[in-house]
Amino acid sequence: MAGTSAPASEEEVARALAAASAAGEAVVLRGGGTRRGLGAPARTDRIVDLRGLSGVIEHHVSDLTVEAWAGTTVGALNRELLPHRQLLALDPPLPDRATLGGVIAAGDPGVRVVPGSRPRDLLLGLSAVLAGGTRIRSGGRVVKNVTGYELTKLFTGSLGTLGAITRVTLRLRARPEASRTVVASLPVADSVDQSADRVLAAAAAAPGPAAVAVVPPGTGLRGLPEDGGFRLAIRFEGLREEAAMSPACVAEAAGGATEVLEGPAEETFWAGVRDFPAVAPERQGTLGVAVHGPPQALLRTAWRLAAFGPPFAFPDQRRAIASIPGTDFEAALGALREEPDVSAVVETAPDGWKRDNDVLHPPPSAQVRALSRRIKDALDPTGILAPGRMPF
Amino acid sequence: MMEALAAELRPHLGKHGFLLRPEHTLPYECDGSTAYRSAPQAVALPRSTAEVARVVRACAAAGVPFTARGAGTGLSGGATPIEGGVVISLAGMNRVLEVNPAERTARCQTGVVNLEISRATAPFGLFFAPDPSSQSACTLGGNIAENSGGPHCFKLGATTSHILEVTVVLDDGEVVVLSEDDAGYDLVGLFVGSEGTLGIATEATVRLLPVPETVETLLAPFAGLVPACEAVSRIVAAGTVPVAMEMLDAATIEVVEAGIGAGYPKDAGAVLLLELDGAKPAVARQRADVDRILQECGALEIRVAHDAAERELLWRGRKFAFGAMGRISTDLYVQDGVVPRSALPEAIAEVERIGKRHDLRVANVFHAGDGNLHPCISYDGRDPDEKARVMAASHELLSLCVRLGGVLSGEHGVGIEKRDSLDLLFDEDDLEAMRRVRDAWNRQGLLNPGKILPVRSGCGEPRATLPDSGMPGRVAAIPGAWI
Repeated sequence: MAGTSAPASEEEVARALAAASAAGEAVVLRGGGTRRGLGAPARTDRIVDLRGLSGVIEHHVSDLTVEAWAGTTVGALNRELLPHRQLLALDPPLPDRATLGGVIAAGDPGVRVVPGSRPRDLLLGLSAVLAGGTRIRSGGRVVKNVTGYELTKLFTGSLGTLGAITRVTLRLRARPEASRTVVASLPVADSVDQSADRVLAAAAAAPGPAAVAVVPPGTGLRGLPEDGGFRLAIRFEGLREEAAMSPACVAEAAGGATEVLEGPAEETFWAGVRDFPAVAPERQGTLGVAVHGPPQALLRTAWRLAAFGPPFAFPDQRRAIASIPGTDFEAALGALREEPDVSAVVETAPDGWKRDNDVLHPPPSAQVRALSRRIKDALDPTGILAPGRMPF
Repeated sequence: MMEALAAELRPHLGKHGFLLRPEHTLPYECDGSTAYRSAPQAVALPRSTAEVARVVRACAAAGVPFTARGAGTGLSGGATPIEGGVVISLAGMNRVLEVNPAERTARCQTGVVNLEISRATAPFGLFFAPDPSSQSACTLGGNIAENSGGPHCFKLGATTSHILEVTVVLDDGEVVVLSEDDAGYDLVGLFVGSEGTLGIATEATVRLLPVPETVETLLAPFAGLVPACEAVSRIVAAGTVPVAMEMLDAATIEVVEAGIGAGYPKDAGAVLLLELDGAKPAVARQRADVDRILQECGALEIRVAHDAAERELLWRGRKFAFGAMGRISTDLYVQDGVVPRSALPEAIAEVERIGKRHDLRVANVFHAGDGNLHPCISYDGRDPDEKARVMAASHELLSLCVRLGGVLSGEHGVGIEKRDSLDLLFDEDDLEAMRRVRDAWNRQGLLNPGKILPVRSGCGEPRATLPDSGMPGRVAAIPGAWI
């Protein structure tokens, strides 16, 4: 049984990691635990829980930036920004549990459009503690910066294998004046290729969308009637004029009936899409799979995966996610292999499954493996941070 | 040594693909920051990824340093082979290989000129967003190396936001494809902006954006920089995201008007050049909000470009400001520090004081939206006393940016110019972490040596000293030099 440390300051994080290094203990870093299943299984002698480092350090209101402790939750930060009509445009699953450091370490892109709203786009600077207890800083607190190597980017998505993120500086935006979502039903009679074309045409016709999601049937998401077909949801937010623009162009390109969501119904709908990757794996025996690749191949893959479990697709993010019963995984992999341009990651799985199965399909190239390994060795030479978690 | 390399490589690159004669290699002795000069012993001109890999393998085997070069428009010495060796010019690899309009991507060789990508994709209503002022000459590979910005990156993001996939020749000549779609570490994010020290990019798939339905370009003169900066802060705080916000001070306006005649009001203390884009109703509304804020902040007038020609003229003053400065002095030194947007008024006032203290002529032209300063010091490089004063002022300017919460470089890169100033911002542990990451990919230290990180003294390597012949960041003072 792994012991747990709960440091309350940067100094205590440094001491905890130095002690673990000295003892040769394998350390798994934790925030809110919403994406703790990501990666391959890591050897775990000690869990270091970073939620004790919490709160805003400095909110630079007129610069639209904030420096906060990494254990602050996304939800808490956004509530604190509310009176200033500002927003951190990260929307990870379960934002009241997800910590800033955790979202960055998971590299979770949320559901908003890219570029501009991913952790890598919003993270301006960070402080981290390396395995031996050394404290480092990278980046800064300005929105444009090419001073030195981009270690901020390396820590984004590093799953706690390079160092413990202790504080972060993030770019904010003004809270949108208005928001509206258009949901179009995709004609059930369409072929997969026709559907993919419709989705891309509608997304292209939509001026400046804030989020684009293909939503499968059978999710039980509130706010949508269940008629067995796929839907395309496009969110518009910003000025009132921007939010108002949308419906006609989307309806025309999507070819089916549309409805408009606003207010609480809209929030509930997007919260359901947002939380899906964290909630779905809690269903008994399912695998949470993320697929990456070019939009057309990705959409075709999503339709293929629908035979196994509901797939959501975010074409502009080049990403789709699906929840697949473990018993169907071999068959689902077969479907994935028919789309050579996409790659899949098993994000979450029932206990023990990842011990016996690969996480990445196809496996990364030998060179990517070697380059990643060398980065890990450079920053964590004793290999105590989540050993085995990065599937290289 | 070089003869042996020539004998090995010429059968593959052709007789004119590997240059050895001094009159052929001399043009590669520096980039846009002409203060640093160091001619390579040889220049390789490969035409494919495989040929780049072959050159790198040969250099690695021979222990010869090598430095990739695009158009050589960089402003921090990134493409200058400061330790000699072989320059690998990507200029011959200049094709847009494939445009995919449905997926809004283009696959290009990295020697392609930035603007050529947007030219090739314009028929599909798409463009490549990074727009450094040198975009009619600089290459995609250089943009990737420096993580280049440009006026429009305030809204659209710098180069790193627009690279989906990059083919890289590694330090040993192995070829790897790094993709944003790959799980694991963000290797694309690490590579973009690494100034050619982690590998040589030979091909890239870039993200394209749709050409906006409408664009509005405004020019607002103000009595001074302080109220103009206040307007910028208020516009951003109000939730309006102009696609660009560029500021020029009185000294720059004077030079621009004398040199180019862009029609900027000569009696203004500052002009703010502002561009809005998007769908028509949204731009109309943004325009109303921006007009109100500009007026409340004391804009002397609001001039609007009515057509493409007028827009071009308004931008021309900004884009060629640095070239125009060539009219008033023999040499020009440009910095690239960044401060938080709210610190702009203080920073500008302090820049002026620093200039006065050292009896130097400083003009300011900067990306106001993201706080990216470009103080320009005109001087005469033949005057040793003036040069010494420029040196002293430049160090004070960098320290100022750091003191105000900023950084040393927003878009030009560290290169040779700022590497020994990096300790103003980072302590030894920070730098050591960066060094380890670099050395993990640059194992023999042959890939573009002497860039980004301070050269360590006491390890057999001398600490870098500034050349006698020039200044860091000195720009060739000719019309057509861009920042």
